[in-house]
Amino acid sequence: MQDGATLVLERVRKDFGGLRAVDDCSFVVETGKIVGLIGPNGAGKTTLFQVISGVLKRDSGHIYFHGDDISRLPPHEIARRGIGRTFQITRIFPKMTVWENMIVASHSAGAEERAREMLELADLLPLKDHYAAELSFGQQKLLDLMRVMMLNPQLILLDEPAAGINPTMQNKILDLIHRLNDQGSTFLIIEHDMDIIMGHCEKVIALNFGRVIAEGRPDEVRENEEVLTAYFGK
Amino acid sequence: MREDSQSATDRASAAKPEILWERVDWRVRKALLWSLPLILLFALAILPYVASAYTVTLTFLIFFWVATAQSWNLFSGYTGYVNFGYVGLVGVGAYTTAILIGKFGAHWLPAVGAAGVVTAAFGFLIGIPLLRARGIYFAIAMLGLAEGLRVFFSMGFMAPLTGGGVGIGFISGMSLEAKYYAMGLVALLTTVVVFVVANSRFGLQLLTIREDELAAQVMGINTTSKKLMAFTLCAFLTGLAGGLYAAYVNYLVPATMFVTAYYTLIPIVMATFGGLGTILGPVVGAVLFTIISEAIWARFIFLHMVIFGAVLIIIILFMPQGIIPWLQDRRILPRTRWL
Repeated sequence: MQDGATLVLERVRKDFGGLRAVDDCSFVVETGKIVGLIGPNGAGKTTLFQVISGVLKRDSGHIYFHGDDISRLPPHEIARRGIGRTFQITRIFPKMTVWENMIVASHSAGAEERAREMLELADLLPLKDHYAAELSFGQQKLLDLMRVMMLNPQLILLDEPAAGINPTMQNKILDLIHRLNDQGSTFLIIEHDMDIIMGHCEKVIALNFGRVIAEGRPDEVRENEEVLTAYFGK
Repeated sequence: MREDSQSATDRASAAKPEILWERVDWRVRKALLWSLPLILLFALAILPYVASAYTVTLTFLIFFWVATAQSWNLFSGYTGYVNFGYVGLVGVGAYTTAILIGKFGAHWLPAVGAAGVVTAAFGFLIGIPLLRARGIYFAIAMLGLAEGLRVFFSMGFMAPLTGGGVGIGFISGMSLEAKYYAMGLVALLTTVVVFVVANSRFGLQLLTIREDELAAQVMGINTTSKKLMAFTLCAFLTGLAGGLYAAYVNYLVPATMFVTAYYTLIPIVMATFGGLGTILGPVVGAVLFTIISEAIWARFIFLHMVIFGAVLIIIILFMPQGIIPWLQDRRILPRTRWL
């Protein structure tokens, strides 16, 4: 077990019938880092998130969170231990108010104070009594991110946090990620926008056909032969 | 920045009086909120002394429908799991009372209490496997359960207890007034329970299941155990209502007790008509539904089901979300979990 590692994957495998979506994946997410997870469509990135968060059970291998094997735990237990995640398509609770969305995700004392603080940070406080469905798409993404923070997570898995929203809102979200990172949260982020990956991640893991094909600093991974082949072909 | 959000908050609160109810002076509102329930309770309390037996019986039935529509709402309205086997819970409660009084000579009060406990235990046990099924699969599983129960209670080897297909008759020893007050208390208890749940953390957790169960799980909510708790609570309250209902029927036959088109669908229609996932909805739904149905029946004996069906279709077309949410959407009532 490596010191300073928040998340360690050891030969994790997930099959869908005959398709191997995640193939003996091993990597480490170091504490306090913002790590990018890249790869072409169908590389297994989202499946990997499903497996880490317990929504799907891995077929073999181990997932360690702060040294504990969490690969058999149900999703709510994994969340309680401090892994928060968002979905590619925002999954806020539409017919509940912004405030209720926040409060219900907290499982510790001081929920109201924290909810107020987080909503303030995202400029959503004035909208707290609105149904989440009434927010704009970008505001829903912000709410999704702030709601995850109510879990007090040490590790946050973000599935394309900047996709489909305007640059102003994108910057706001990236700004928030850095701010939360400064406060001690570790991030693993799936993102297709290379500028975001290069500009904001300290480490990048590249997947293709469910396997890790490269791992390292963003500029290293960008030059990697196999990564270039995966994205652009030979 | 600080000032910005301050003024936005002001705007938000300044926008509030657009809601019709909140334009009323707060003293008037406060007086209404206190006096209306008290007047209603008082009127219902003296009803058996001033009204005819017909009115008392009709009100007893309204209480029964309030209790059942509200119990159905407690589980299905808040979690979004459509319970199409609800009649099974009503039937288990009714049969428990009937067997305890008819076969063991029990007093009605412990018999009805036992109906609640037995139905809760039954709900808990079947909930463990069945609540794993979602959406349409859960609905079908519950439908199958209700049918299975009907056959089970008709079977020969159950005859010593249930009278099999012939049924079980008994004398509850309850006066009309006793039935009336007891059912009124069950309806009140059920509504109070829903009120407490709706305004608790537990209630919000149930709503997240309705909204998006997977998202609820990754937010750390153990949805399986919350569903089971709500289902068991629903079964307990339904057991009480079903148990008292048996005292009204006095004769239980599986073929008329386990009728999905009646004891499952009517509470569903009432709760939906009033507004799922609200507290007042099922109450308003049950009261209006019973009165409309009774009024149509009194005028058009032969066509009453046809006309009633047409009325329902029109209502569903114009306010699919139910009365209370309809009023909230039109800013007549505030959007709060208190309603």
